Amino acid sequence: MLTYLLRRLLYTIPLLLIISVIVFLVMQLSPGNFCTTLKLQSEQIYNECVERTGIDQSIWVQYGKWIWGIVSGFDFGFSFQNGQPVMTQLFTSGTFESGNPLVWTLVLSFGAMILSWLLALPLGIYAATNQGTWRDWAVNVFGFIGLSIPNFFLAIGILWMLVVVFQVGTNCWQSEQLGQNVCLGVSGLFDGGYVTASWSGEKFLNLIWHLWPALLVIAAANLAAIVRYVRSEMLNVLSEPYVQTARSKGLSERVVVVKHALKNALNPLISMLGYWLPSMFEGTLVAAMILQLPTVEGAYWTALRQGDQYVVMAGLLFFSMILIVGNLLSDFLLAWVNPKIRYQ
Amino acid sequence: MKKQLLTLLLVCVVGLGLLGGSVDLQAQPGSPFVVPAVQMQDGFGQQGGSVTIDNIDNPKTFNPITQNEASSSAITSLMHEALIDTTGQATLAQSLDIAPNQTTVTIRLREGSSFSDGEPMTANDVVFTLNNIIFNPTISSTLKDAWRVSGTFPRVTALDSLTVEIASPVSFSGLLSAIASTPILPQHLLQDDVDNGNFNAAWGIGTSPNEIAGTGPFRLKSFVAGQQVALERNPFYGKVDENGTQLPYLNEIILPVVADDNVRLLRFSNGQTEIYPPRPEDVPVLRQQSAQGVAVSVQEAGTVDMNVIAFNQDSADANLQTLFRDVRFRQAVSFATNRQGMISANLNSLGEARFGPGISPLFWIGDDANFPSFQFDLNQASALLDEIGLATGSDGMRQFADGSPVEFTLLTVQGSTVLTNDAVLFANDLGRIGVQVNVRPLDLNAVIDQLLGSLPPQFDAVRITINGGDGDPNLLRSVFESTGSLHFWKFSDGFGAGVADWQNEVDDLLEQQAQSLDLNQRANLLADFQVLVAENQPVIFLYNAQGLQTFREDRVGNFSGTVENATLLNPEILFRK
Repeated sequence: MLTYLLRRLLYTIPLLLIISVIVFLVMQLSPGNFCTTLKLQSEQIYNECVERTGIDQSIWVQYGKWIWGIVSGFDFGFSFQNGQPVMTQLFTSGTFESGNPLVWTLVLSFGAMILSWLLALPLGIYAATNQGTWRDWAVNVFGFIGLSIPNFFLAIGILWMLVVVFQVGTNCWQSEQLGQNVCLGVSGLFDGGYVTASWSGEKFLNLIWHLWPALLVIAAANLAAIVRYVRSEMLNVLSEPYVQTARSKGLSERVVVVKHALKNALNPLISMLGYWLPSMFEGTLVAAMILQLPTVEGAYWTALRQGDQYVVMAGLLFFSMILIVGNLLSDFLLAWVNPKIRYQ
Repeated sequence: MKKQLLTLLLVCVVGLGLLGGSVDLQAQPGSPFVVPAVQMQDGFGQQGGSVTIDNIDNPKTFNPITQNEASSSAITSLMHEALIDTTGQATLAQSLDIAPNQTTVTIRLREGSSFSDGEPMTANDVVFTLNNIIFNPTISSTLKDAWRVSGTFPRVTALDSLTVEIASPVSFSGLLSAIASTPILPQHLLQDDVDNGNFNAAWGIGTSPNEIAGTGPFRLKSFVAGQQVALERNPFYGKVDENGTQLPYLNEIILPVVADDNVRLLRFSNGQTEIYPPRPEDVPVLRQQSAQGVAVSVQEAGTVDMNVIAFNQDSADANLQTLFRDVRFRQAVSFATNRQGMISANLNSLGEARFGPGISPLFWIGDDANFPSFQFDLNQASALLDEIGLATGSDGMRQFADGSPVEFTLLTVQGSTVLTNDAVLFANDLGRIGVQVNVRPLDLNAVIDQLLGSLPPQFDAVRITINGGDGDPNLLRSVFESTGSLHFWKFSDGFGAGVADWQNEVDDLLEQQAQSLDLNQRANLLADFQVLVAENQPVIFLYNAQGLQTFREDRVGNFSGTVENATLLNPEILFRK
């Protein structure tokens, strides 16, 4: 198994190389470059930008230098925007108090994953055990709506509801930690002074207040699909003879569903956890754009809009890695839940 | 997604008149500058409190010289000040003496002026800022253009620790404007960066706050990428109110990073921010919130920015080139443009039609009764096209003499609703006089490439906004002079074609006003310039938006507006109620 794991990891290297070449070429195809807008200010400022960024060099020289930097010193280049190293820009900027993009990405992605499963499991089971009833239909309709609403629309809709309908901004209190009046805000991760304040219960509660809309938006992206998978697996298992046997033994329906059916229905679903992983990271991108979340995806989106070449490249490699790791995780979980599967 | 506008930026300086003699700038030696009470419409404030204003993006730098976009200038403008400001007031300068030959300005600095780290500001810092930074060929800055006269820079010398002499090779009307636009930087913090050739990267966003100092009312407290910038009051700031209270009044200004327009509006409505520069479509919603303390202020439309449609007068298509160079065609198009329609559709009727170039209000004559006007008139437009000889075909569309249709492509920027809507309305209007316009939204970089990427330019026509800063006439030279670097519609002597007589006249007028130190004479020259440009419509001037500001009047006092939706005016007198 270890050999298989190592081999799979080694396969990712040429894969990532191919991905990086394609992405680099695609970026070069777009008209103009990072410095082009500076032509509107002056030729000298444009020329200085070109010299600083090196984008006048041939694409192979640029690409070669970038790859060599990674191989020789794990240097992913620098941001054209502000000269910061790419790794700082994408992952590690920030302090312990404010958190950094990587931490927030992990918190949001895994938080949303847990939330989506926590909501999807009972809903899927409920739909399966009420097959054909209006309750089943209700869950299905809910699923379709969830599947149809674009994430950005849901995000802005939640903010609108909080501000206009619930008027959350009118809920204020005197913060002992900040020594000032604080009102409930929307978007971002903290209200005002909490961004740089030291960690405390008060700050944590403020974070939770800002996290839940983000988690809901990201979780909604996959919630409907998971509900449908759970329902489908449960229906398959519930029609198995051993479930009928359990019922005929006089076991309560709750024991039949939870102890006998659910356990077996979950096995194939566990293997799918890995596939949901990249999907959650993807959902975080949309939420970061609207909800102003300081995540890796937020930094990546800004770089993408501005043609910040090396930040975009490194970001895409990161997301590719997530995809690869997600697939790998799925394969291993599949072997773990199904002893008949063995990798060589 | 952040709205992208194709905006041609000019450096922000103003049209101050340069007159011989001494300019009194509250010359009490050793005393701080006292802000007159008349400027405080809500009276004296009290120290303390904070104000929150969303910033449209992460700042890219804290360096006020190399910054070139709004998310950075919104912050650096609060941290740095020039020797004098645009109204002639000065925190740092005590007096200005202009020599009789009117080429030399001697500036006496205010005794006791300090940077925000407590170090004194001296004449050496002024000399360092100008000689070593602004005039340094290896340092890129849009401020260079404001200082350059006759192809060179003035000579700057420290006469003693508090006196600086700035000597221009020729008389230069923009000298005071240049002084007013240049922040003074601390030599003790930046000398090494200049010596090492590292100034362009100095004061990047990773710099520790205690390594950055300025002379403005606020200094950097903290920056968390993707979250917020916090500024705190500069305890060494050199202005006081008439009660002797040291300014600024506010303890902090917080600038959270919020890129989405709609989210910024929601946050303001939720009470999270105190000041919000709204879009025209936000105004009805915000007016409904007046009961919650929201004040919407609508000011006169600016006289500086230029929303225009430009034609490539060096088009490779011979028919189009001849047509675009014909003033009758441009006038016909100007008559056929329904400016009020655009203002209604895009600005929620909060704008004013414009027929001539943007310029500082000091010189603006665009609303004079005799100023050339091109009110919407399709009959007059059609008559001019008939006069050119563009016949109407059986399909109602105009044709060139060779039978080919009069048709061109109008570029706009993909993602900019305003530019694209304007372009579509314009195409519709021109269709009514038989001219086929094909609107083509392109990526911003692609549009710029077509405008400035090659000679001659590749486009047919473009909808663009020229942002004139504070409208200093000298900055218009790069746009309206035939050889200007931003004269993107060309038909200049760079391509072997003769320059039109009126364009030669424009070149002369702009050169003369640059060397004129007599304010009246300068105003006359610039009036002639505006009329000449309006008559010839080298670009089709469209409209300007009215200044829109919203703020919470129950929380903020002495708010007097923002510039370009980002930079706070008079932040030092703003106070928290």
